[in-house]
Amino acid sequence: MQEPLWTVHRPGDICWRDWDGLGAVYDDGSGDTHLVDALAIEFLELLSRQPLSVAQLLEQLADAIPVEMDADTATALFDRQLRGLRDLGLVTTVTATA
Amino acid sequence: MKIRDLPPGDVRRRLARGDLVLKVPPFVARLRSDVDRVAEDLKLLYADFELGTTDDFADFHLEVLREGGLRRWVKPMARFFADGEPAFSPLPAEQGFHMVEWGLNWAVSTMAHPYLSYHAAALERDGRALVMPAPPGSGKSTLTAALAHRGWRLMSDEITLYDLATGQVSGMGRPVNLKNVSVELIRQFAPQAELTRPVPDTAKGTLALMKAPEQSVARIMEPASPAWIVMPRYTAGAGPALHDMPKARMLLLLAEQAFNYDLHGRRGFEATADLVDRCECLDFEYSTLDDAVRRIDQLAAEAR
Repeated sequence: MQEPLWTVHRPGDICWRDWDGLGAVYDDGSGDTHLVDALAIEFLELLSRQPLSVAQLLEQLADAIPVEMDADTATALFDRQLRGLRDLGLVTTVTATA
Repeated sequence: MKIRDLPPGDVRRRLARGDLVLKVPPFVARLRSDVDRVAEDLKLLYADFELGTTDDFADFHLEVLREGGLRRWVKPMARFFADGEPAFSPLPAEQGFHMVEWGLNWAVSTMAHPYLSYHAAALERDGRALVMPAPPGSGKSTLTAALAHRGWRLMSDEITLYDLATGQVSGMGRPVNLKNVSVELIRQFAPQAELTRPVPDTAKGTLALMKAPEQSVARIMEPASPAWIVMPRYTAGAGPALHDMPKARMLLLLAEQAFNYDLHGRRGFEATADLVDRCECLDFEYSTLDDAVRRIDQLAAEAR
């Protein structure tokens, strides 16, 4: 089965700022403001440019992953983080087109 | 003409007629009341404020009127009205002026939309503003009252206005709300402070209002550049300690404490982000007013 691609949900509504490891994300659709960590901000930056799979995110953020973290743990961490952002309504999955 | 210039009895008469026009820059409020306590407290707390005329456009029409019925002989009650509509439940008439203050807060926070209005105190020194957002119980008002009597200009205790066009903050130089032990604490800390007669046994305990120092009211029209956003936290026995607070966390606090952040949408977020971006964001733990004021003074001196 093909890995899902993640993207920013309603990109016109979402904006963010980050400072020193913590960020704030504003969702103009819901009016909510969320406190997020640096990894979430990295995801939003990358996913706002193009939809990416977890594997592609891992590849692009390879430098940010601690050397002692194995691939399975990193995949699980990214997956968990993306699901958390999806629960906040900030990202969503899209179907890949050939 | 200022309130203090009115002849004896005139505040009461104007209030009774509903033509007391109070300038609380940038707003004008027209007040009406038949409650003696309102006249008494207004004369003290707003003595240095300019009066307008009935020809002036009033942003808010506020009334505190005695309730009728037999109960008025036993326990007089009063009700607050904004633009002719009742806005809160009736309260004992002794709290009449607190109702005016709450009503003004309510009117400003629901109607003053050229500004982002935060539930925060603001004080100024050397053109720079110290903004203190804080949830109830943090000691914000007590610290604000203390700083206002130690060389800081009081801009606001309750509502800080952030001008979206200029990025400057201002307040209205209105009174400081003190509760319970803070009333006596401020009397001892600043014997020159002018306080209303305390109102005991309210839902919030004993309440009193402290008049803004005259020199603060005289500069009411001067905004200031925000330099520090400090979240005060009274902790019994703690020495004064300032710690960096993550800017994103401060943004969330300000958003929570803002009255009209939601109304401004993305612009409110961007403006609040700009505000925290340009300010030093700090968490401030303290227990005694002397130590707290000294530490805040030091913070201002370090920035010179």
